[in-house]
Amino acid sequence: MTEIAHSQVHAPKRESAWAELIRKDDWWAIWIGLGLVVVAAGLVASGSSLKWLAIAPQKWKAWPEAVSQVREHAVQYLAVFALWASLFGIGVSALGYRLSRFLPAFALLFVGSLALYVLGQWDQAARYNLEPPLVALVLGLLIANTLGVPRWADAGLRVELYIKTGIVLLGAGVPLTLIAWAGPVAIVQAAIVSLVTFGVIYFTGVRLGLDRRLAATLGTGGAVCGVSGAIATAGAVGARKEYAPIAISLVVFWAILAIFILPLLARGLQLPTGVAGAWIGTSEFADAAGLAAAQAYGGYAGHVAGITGTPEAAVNAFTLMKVIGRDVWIGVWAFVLSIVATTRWQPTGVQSRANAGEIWNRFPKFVLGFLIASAIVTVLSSGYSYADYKKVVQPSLVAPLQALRVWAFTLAFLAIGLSTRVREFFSVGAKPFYAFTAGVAVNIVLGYLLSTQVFVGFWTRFGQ
Amino acid sequence: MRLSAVHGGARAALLEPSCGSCRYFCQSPHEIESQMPGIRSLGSAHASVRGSDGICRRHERYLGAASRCDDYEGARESQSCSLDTQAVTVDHAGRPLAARWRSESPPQPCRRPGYERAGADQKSEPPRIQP
Repeated sequence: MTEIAHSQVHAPKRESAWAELIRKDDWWAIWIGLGLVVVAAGLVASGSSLKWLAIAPQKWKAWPEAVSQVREHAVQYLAVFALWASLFGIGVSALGYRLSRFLPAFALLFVGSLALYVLGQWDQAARYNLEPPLVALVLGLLIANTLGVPRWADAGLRVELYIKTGIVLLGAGVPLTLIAWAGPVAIVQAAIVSLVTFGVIYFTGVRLGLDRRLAATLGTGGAVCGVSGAIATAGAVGARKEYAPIAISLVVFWAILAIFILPLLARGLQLPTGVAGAWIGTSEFADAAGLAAAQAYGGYAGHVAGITGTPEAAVNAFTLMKVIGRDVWIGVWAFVLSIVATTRWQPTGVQSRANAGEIWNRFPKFVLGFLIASAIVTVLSSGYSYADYKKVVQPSLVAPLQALRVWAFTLAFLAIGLSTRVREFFSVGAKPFYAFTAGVAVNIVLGYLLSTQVFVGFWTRFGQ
Repeated sequence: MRLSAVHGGARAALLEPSCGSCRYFCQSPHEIESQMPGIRSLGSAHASVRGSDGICRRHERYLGAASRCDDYEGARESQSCSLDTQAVTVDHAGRPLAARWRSESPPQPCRRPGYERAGADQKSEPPRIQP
């Protein structure tokens, strides 16, 4: 036989590579986030702005003042709701959820987010630790674990879609030159912590008698990018079905604790916002959780005595450290571990395939959106002097996009709490818990030392 | 395409079936999210990092679509991933597929302690992951 008959080829039934462009939430974050950036840029070029639509509550002192603010701008709030509901609705529909389930869940989520956004503008909010990300999380956890959240509401609680869209929008406020300047430091610092943390979790796990595939899944979950790291590694090494949920539960447990612990510790140590953001980016376990912690800490700047730097610096430093320093390497981790699993570890009866193409397949594509958004605004701003940038570009282009970013983040923070079930934390077993916790301890201490001792000068300058 | 033009491993790769087209393999992100508690809190089965991984119901493993084993069986159309969901299609013998799964390849219970290496200390409390 010299020809392969078509019927004999058992190639996997895979959708075309283009299908991924509408089947993955990374791509929808890019379409939505970059779409908004392009529209905003187009409006500025034509002498208009997205300002009216990108409504954000202003500072208030007394409750009636806040209520009247919302009433006065009710049409704008409805408009921004319609904007997000339609954009996310299209994305969620393409991901296979019903609009009839998404819309009511999203409407409730939006109303809760609006209340939290308004609360965060209270002039005494920082004094009482009422930072919107922290309140959103506590409120969501309380509702989900006492009253419960109906299953149909899942369609509206798409944490990853909201947080990735927010990160793409965040790119519009981070100049490409800043990424080029700080990126290498972030990569070096993150690489040190990732390798050490992975080593601690993996070898502690193996020492405790865990299957190497579970130890590796736990290791990348703790060291690289949380839930995403855990599922990427579990698939690459051919882990047992229950390994990823064990790692996910531990990641979520520690990530949620770290949302409260890290800003509290940094506040006690009066760290500058850039330094605290770098520490959170090094030591948090998930993008959404870390952004909640970083945004909460950024809110202390100018409100809590002794905390210097700009509020944006905490979020920017976090994003560089976590997204550029850690997240983008997950494909490499998965590829290397798949080679180790197939060549060194006990066979499982299923032959996994190590393929370098997986590095790109598993690449968190929303990072491209973050970089492109940064490039667009950097190029547009390049023709302006610094004074003109502050006078024209900042208020008409960057500020509205940042306001929309805060909306996306607030939706995500509330959705985290609403989709977290505390009871799931208690089903992981003792040994995985010990192994992961050993990594958490090392991760937090090492992240602190690198951010506040080794690279402190760099991150302090970054925050200014 | 001429067979002679395809070398060694590549030729084998073309001829051997892989998990991505196997009936026991579930790639549905919705099903994966329902089977992996907590994934939605800080992650997503719709994320790029998942690639084309899925759950093998035969081996109870989470695998890449390019993985292979000796238990391969060709896929069917409209495949339902969950055994809890009654499949609407039937197999070549006319039996409902969900029933066939039950009779020929019963899914492994998820409660059994399975995360430790062979011969390792078994004194630790086993995991109690719910499917």
